[in-house]
Amino acid sequence: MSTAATNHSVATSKPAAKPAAGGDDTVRDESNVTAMVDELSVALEAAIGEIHAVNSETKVLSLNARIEAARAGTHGAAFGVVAEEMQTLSEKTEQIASVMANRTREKTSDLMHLIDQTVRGTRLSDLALVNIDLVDRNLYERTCDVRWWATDGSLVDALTDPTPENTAFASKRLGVILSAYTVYFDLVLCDAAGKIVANGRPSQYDNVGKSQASEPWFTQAMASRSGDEYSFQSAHLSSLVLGQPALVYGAAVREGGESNGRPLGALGIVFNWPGLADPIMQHIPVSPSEQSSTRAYIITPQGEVVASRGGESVGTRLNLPDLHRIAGSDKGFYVASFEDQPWSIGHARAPGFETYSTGWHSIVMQPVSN
Amino acid sequence: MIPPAPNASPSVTSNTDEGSPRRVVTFGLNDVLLGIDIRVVQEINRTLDYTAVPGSPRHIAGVVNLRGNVVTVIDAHELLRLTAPPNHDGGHNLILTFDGERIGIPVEGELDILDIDPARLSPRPTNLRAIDARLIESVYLRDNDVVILLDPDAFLAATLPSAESAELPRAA
Repeated sequence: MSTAATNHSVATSKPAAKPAAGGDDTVRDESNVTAMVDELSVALEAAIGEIHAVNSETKVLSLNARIEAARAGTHGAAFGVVAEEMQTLSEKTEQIASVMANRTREKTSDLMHLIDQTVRGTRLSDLALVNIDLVDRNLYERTCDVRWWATDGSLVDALTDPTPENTAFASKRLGVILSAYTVYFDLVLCDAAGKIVANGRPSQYDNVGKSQASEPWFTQAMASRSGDEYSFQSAHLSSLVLGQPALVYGAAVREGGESNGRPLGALGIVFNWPGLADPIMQHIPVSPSEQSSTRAYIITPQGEVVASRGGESVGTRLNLPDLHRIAGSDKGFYVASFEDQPWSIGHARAPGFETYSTGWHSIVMQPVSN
Repeated sequence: MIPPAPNASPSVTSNTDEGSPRRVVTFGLNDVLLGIDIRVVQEINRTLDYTAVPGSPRHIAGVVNLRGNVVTVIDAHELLRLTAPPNHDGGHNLILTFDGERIGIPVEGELDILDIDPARLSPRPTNLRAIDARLIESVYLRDNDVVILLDPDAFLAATLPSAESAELPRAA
């Protein structure tokens, strides 16, 4: 059913100013950790170096003791055994020190690698969150637009008494709105049967007379219980606007413009989705060297592409590995193999704004070298 | 099996039974693993600051005072005709003693003491080009490498100042 407001009102709590600040803190912590690992590594290397030096001395000492023992002949035999034992011990210590040195180097390098990945992954998930937060904040406004425009007297009149004068006036009103709200392709007014009786850009989109009876935005709007509700039809190639990718928000136009009035028809507002999504997808703040390798997507919880940086069309299924990790998480990152190389995949669920959330997931990913 | 080399120094090896184990000090010179009987080794020392002696043969690096005793420091690379590594500091000195005569040899590589099974000694090979064959007593074969055992007397003789001009007294 429609009631997108109730369906999506879950994640409205977190204000979006937080992610950026959180990201900075994370990076600062990471660099502290990096410095600490570095220090630890240097201290261990120095200690191991000293052990090597002491061992080398001990070995020479034991060799000299054995030379002395050999000189003393049979009298030196017992002393020689002790000296030999000393050398064996120093060799064992040497081995332990070498093993320790190797392990230290290996673990430090692993740790550094992990920190690198964490820093990158955290940054990518921060970017992903910023993207989807922008979308939620913007689209929240669309749910407001459609609800109050549906109460406009000219629309109510055009549906109550669909004379050519009334529909022409409704069309003119919709045109006025469009000239101020540049984010829409078109606004369409349907009667109760789903037939378009007026639109805002008749010269550009020949929509009057077309039927929207089976379109989700229309059926959901007609089924809504009050003027507080709206309907939503997710990203699709819309026949209303010559096949351009669009989102459609709808609301019932009610008798007398009253919130509880009987639905007379519905207003559909056809949102220019690429106009919002493309700049967000293309202008991700990564360094120039990362621009070409960075990919970004916005997907539905079912994994269908809503927007992409690489030009994958709306509705395509995204074949990322472990996609369930994205769907099941608010924010995070993971490393997975995709197209024969490892990628750091940062993701974030739509945080929601006020009473609205798209419920979509945002992904920003980069290839990583191993 | 194969007896020790026939020209082994009588003064050092004559009192060694043919079958009883021998003990040698091994050291590295330019990747060649050498060994010398432990009984001519006095001690192993850190690198010494020696004083060059003007007019001495090329294989004499200098002299040093070691606890009141004069030690002649030999450039063993020169003596054995091995290429010296570019920088052989930080190694050790092997101090040899022959009836009061002390010789120091700066060496590289791992020092060790080895008990040798005489059964695994081979006579010196005639075609060992790396080192003057007359200084070699025998060759000890191990699983992964060989130790070239120096003839202490021949080695001492070679270090004598006259050795430079007269070459080695005993031709092979």
